[in-house]
Amino acid sequence: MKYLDPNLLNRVARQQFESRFVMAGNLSGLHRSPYRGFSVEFTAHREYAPGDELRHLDWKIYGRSDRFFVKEHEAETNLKAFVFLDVSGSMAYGDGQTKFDYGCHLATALTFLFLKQGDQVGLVLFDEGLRRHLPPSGRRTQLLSVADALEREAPSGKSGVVRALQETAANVSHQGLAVVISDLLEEPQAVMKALKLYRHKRFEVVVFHLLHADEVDFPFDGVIRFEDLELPRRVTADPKAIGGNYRRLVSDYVQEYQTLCRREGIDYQLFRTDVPLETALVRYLASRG
Amino acid sequence: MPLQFLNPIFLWGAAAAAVPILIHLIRRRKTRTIRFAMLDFILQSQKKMARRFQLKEWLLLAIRTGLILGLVGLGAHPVFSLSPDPGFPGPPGRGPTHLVVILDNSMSMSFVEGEITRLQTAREWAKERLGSLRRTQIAVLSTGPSGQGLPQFQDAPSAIATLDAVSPSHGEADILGAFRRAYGLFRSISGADKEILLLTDGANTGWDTFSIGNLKTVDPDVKIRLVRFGKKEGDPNAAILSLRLKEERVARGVAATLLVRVKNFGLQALRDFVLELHVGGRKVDERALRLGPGAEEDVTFESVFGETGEIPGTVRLRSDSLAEDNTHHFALFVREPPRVLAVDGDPKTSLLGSETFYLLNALDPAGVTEAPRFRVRWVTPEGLDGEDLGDHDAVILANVSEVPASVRAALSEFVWGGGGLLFFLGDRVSPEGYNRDFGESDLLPARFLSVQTRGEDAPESVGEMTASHPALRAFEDLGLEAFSGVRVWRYFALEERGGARSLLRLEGGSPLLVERLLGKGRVMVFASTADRDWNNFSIQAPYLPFIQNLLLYLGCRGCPEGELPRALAEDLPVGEEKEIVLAPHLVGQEVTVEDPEGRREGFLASGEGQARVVYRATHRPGIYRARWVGGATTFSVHPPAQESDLTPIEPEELKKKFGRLPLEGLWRHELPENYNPWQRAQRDLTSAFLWVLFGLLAVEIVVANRF
Repeated sequence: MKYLDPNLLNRVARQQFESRFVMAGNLSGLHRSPYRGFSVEFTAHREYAPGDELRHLDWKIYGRSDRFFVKEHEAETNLKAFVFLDVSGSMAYGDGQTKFDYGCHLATALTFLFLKQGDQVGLVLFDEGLRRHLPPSGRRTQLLSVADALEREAPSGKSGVVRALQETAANVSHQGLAVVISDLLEEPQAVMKALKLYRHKRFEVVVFHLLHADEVDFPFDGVIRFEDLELPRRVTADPKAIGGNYRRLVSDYVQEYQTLCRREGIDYQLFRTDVPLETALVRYLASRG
Repeated sequence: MPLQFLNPIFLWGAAAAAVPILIHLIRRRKTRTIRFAMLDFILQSQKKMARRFQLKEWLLLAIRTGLILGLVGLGAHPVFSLSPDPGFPGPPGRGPTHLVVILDNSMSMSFVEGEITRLQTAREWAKERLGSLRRTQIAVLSTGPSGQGLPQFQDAPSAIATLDAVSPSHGEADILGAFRRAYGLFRSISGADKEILLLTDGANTGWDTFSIGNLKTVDPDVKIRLVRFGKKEGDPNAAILSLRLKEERVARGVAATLLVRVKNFGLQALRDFVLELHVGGRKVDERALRLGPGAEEDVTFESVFGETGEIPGTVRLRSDSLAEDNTHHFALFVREPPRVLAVDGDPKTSLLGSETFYLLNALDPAGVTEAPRFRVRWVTPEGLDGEDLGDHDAVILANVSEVPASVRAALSEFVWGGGGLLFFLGDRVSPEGYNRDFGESDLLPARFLSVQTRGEDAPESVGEMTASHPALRAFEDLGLEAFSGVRVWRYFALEERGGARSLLRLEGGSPLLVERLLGKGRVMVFASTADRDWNNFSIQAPYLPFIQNLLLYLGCRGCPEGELPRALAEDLPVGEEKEIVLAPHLVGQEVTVEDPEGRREGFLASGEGQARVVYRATHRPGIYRARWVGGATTFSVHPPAQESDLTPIEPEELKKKFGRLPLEGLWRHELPENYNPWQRAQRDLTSAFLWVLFGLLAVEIVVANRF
């Protein structure tokens, strides 16, 4: 599988993605969720965390390894994570590793992480509309499904993060986690409005803002004809001449997202694709811990 | 166009200016294409930068194009016209299709200004400008006789070579002749852009006789450009106008007086300038002079010559910018005083009563001249037999009754050999005896008839004179008036013999003085007495010059036939032709003329009844000598006095002389140094272009990297 990178998963496997909100008043478990960990169908083991009921401890493992693990069952998982991945044309930018690739690796890593934690995770692929939707599942096979789904997709079409969030928000009924992975090339105010729909449903929202290094630094030389990846338009420009202005605009735009997200309690992370994903993700997860 | 290029072929390189434009276009075409996500940001940035970016693009394009054009222009040697062409309207930078250059090479153009003559200045000025005419056919003429050859149209380099060959003419400017030849050259050329360029000092001389109306053919389409090299106010100049001799004859050991006419033509007084007399190549005398503006004066030199023959000499003025008219050449002929044998046929114990008293006094007027002009020997008829006639140049027989046959034979030999014989008659003369005795020896110019007697109250006067005769030329101006007091009451009626002619006649028509040439000599007979017995001539004023000129004439051995010996060689102005007259029998003989530079030219004497040669090559001042078998003559040539007057002709007067013809008169000293009638005054723009290029390069660097 293209987007199942064992090295990355190994690095991530040692991390935890903890929800910053109390989930349905249940304080046990990783996410302090009242709906978690009581299913009869065993799905996975996880390390014991303070708050877990002792009855869920797997004594056999403890006997073998002298470490505490609790048994998790699907019915018992109380976190539903939705990974929204932008597959619009703009995500195709980048030599070798595109933003789309980077996003895919991030999505699988997060899926892996959520599943490892016993959470349900779903995948929403969108461009100007919903292109594919994998409902949340806590089964192990979900990771393969996600990887497979991603591998079948190629970035194209217009960006539609607002529409995707709006369309999916109507179908979610209780709190969870929404992870948005996109280059967010839409009007920040509109994007924030859509994100707030999830916030209103007591979702924790995490935004991974993917930008290629070229898109931030604009390091081009000579007169260049820029063609839009999504729309049939082009513009010829001298990067040297407009570089300063461009960088200032991008900085303002990132700054605006940061400010708006902070204001709405949304976790915003800018990921530059020139920073290795495992480094960026580990650093992020560590910051959450 | 004020901006011109001396190497226009380089301008083809301007095509390279298209290179930046092509690069710009190619660059646009070869622009790298990048598919990019954040086009909105680029567009927003571009929106802000668009104008600035485009401005930079165009600015760079313009600067780079300018750099290439500048380089091309630099190679093409840019020049800038500083002033508009003051000449005729028309496209600058090219001359007429046909141009006639008339260079005034008259004497006044030899005026030295700085260290070179005006002729050289004018020539160099013209050469510098003619060099720029690449498509013009040029003919070069001069105003002097050296330019009489047939000129031809030629290209500029050949014309410049022709111009170099024009030398000073020493004479007057024949401006009319030059224009006549110029229009003659243009006659065969139709429909062309024609021009005459006259380079002159504009001195009055030559212009006084010039008027365009005197030309038969004038082309009104021919532009006339006149560049004057003199000063508007004229130049200071003194000149020797003429030289003459006070005496009729210069005798060895006898003081001769030279009168030199000097004039100051300038507007300022001349002080302490020196006039020198050089004889035989040696300075013998000098005078310091002061002359007011426009004044002229005779300067006198007295000199005694110890040698006989032709004595060349010069008078010279020192310290003058026009050297040509500062020297005046002359040639003096110094002779021995004529030796005269006076035979008194009626001697008396009292000198006053003697037949030859008045004659002797006329030949040697005591107290009037310092030295005798004649060497006179007085004898009676009896003493004549013992005289050696070879010691004398002339013999006077005054009222001699009888001459022995041996003496008559000697006299005949004497006359045929070149001597002169003069008969005065009187009461001792027997017509029959003379007719018989002298008739045999053919010595008498006339046959003696009878004695004519008029009452003292009804004498005869002189009624007719051959004034052109050398012996009577002294009376040419006064004419018969000179003899108005002469009364003759007794004389011999004479009948001229063949070959004889009467030089004086009485009112009644009877010959008074008859001459006959005989061999190399001359014989004359005066029909009355030498004293007061038959006339009062001897106490009249003309008697002395009459007798002296008669004896100078008769006593001149070897003088040209019928000529009084010259004391001063004939003096002609430069350019005037000299007519050399020879004896009729010399027709066909060669006459060789040697000019002052020693060049000899031969001519054949021609003519009917008179052999003559006309010599025209009197182009240089100095002494000219003509020689032929049995004869020679010398003449001197001097600069024309008119050319010494450097007063320029007034512009208005000059304009009038050309009527309505298109004339442009310019003063060279008022023109810019680099003035060219066919090319605007130019300033070299190479360094300016270089600076502009450096400036453009600096701007380009700044705009390309910082802007």
